[in-house]
Amino acid sequence: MSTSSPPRSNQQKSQRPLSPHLQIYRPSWTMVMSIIHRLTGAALYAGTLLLTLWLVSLASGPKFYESVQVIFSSWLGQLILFGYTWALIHHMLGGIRHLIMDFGKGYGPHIRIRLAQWTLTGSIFLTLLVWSFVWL
Amino acid sequence: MIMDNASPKIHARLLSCKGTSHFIFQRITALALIPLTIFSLILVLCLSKMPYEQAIHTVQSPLISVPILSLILAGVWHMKLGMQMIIEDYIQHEYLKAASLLFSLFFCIFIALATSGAVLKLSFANI
Repeated sequence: MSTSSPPRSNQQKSQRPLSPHLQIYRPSWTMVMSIIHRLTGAALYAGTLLLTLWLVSLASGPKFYESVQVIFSSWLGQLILFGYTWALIHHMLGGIRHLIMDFGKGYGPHIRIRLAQWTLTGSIFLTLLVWSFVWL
Repeated sequence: MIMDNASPKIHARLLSCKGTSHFIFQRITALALIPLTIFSLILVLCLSKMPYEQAIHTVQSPLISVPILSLILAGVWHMKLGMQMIIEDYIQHEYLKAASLLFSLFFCIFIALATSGAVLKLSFANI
């Protein structure tokens, strides 16, 4: 028995109310980390354009590579790359947390909060560690 | 067996049950991406400090180019599946959902071809 509804035109959209969710739920560590996991994933998806630009410039010759280096070395470029690094590391740590939970571990009342907290503190620490090699 | 007497429409719906497959490949690519991400972070740090010639020669080595290609394969597959989940969750309009999924797929293929094309070009270059 099919449960999907046919495509609706704008005139046929129903006026049924939705139950409140974002307005009333108290943010928990696990809930916020889950949302951030998805957001970082989407940001990483978009940011692959930057990586592609860089790799293609490497294969295109020294002049193009140099101009891309200049763009990436600007303060805005560095800011974006820093953000991208953080998103990458945070998404990876969050992914490890999800993999742990896939095996049924880490659902206890205290450990699930700890795992979520370590995802954030770990990502901040590791991002700063990686970028210390860039700046120092 | 279940499909023996299915109408074409039901047959199509039964064949489109890819949920478990996506779940598994999302985990497999994620697992592969853990060491590959660590590798690529170290690689980018090193390459950014090298002059152009040295950077080229580094990437030409198969010890480097093969992990980069693996990263591209696992990463693009992982991001295709991930974005598919996001689109399926938030876009309810049937035609907009289909168009978005198609665009996402084409974007991922473009990324895969552009990046791996660059790496392969360097691998076969005579510099």
